Amino acid sequence: MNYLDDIGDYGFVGQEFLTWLWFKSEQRGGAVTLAEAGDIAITFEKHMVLEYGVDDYHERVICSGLNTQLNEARTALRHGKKLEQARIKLSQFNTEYIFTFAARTFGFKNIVLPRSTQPETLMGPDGTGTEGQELNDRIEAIETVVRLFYELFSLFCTVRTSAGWDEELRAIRRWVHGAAERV
Amino acid sequence: MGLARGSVSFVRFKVDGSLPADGEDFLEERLKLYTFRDIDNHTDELSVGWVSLGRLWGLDLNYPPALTGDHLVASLRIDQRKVAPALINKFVQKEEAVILKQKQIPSLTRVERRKLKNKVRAHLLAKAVPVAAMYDICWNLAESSLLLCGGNAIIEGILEDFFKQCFDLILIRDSPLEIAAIGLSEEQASSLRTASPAVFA
Repeated sequence: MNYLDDIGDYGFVGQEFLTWLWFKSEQRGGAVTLAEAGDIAITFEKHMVLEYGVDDYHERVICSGLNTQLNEARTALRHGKKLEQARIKLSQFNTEYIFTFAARTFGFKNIVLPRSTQPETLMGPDGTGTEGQELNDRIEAIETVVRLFYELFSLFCTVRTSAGWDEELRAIRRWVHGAAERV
Repeated sequence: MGLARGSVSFVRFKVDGSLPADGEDFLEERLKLYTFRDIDNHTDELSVGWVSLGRLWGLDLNYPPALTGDHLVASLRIDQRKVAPALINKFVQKEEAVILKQKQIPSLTRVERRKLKNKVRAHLLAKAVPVAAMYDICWNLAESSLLLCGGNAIIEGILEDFFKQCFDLILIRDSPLEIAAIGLSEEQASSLRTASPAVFA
C-alpha cells in the first residue's frame, strides 16, 4: 500500500491516537510509562484542530487560546470529531519538547527544541562553542522527540488491537461526556 | 527555520535498501556528482541538487561536515522557473489576436491554440528568473531513516525521485500503518488493518 492510500484509508488511526493521547494527558497528571523510554509527561497546549467526515461531509474546528480550557474542542469531541492536529509538550528528565503533530499525515511542525540545545548553553567556560556540536545536539533532540512519540503511538496501537480496547473505549467515552458536562 | 537553527518542521522517511560496502566513499562521490547546478543563465525549468546544509551556494563536504557520526546532513536545493497562468493567458490572447488579424480568420483550432500556448509558455519561461528554495535533510545511516525539513507533498515527491536517482535507494514516507507495523505482531497488525474507525462520542 502506498503512502497516499495509507493515509486515505488509515488516517483515522493517527486521529484516534491523538485523541487517545489527549485523554491520557488528563489521567494521572499526564504521566505515562513507556517500556523503553520510561516515564514521560504529556501536556496538550492551547491549539487543536478537530475533524469529522470526508469530502462534502467534512467538518473542521480550530481551537486555540492562551487561557481557555478548549471548551469548543471538548464540545467538538462530543459531536463525534477527532483530533487531527494538536500542540503537545512532552517532558522527560526535566527536558521539554514542544511541537505540533498532524495526525493524518504524521508530520511534526514547529518543534521547539529544549533549552539545553540553545547556542548560549553550549558555550564552554572560555566562551567558545562548536557549530558542529550544536547541530549534533539538535539532531539528537529531534530524534528523541520522534522516538518518544513513536513509542507512544506503539503503545496506543497495542491497546487498540488488544482485548482491552473495549474497556479503554468506554473510559474515553466517559471522559468525553464527563468533559462535556464541565463545559 | 531549519535543521541548524530555530524551530523545525519535518516529515520522516524510511530508507529502503543498503549502501555498498564502501558506504562513506559512495556517499561523498554521489553527493558531488549530484551537486546543485545553477540554471540562472540557462533555459531549464527545474534544477535539483545538493548543497551544504543551509548554504545556498556550493557543496563543501567539510563545512559543515556532511557526514557526522551516523548522520548525513545536507540541503536539497530546488530552483524552478515559473510563469503565472494569468500571464501566459495574456500573451496567448495577444498573439492570437495578431494571428487572427494576419490570416483573416475568425478563430484558431484547438490544436493551433495549444501549440501557441506552448510556444508562449516556453518563451516566457526562458525569460523568467528561477526561484531558489532549500530543504534540509538529515539521514540517519544507522537507523535507515531520513528527515525532510520544510516542504510539502510536491517537494516530498521531488526528493523521493532525486534520492532514488542519486543513491539508488527508495524513500518510504512514514505513515500510521507503516509505523504501527514496526511494534506489532503480524496478528495485531492485521487486526489494525481491518479495524473500523472507533466512535468516541
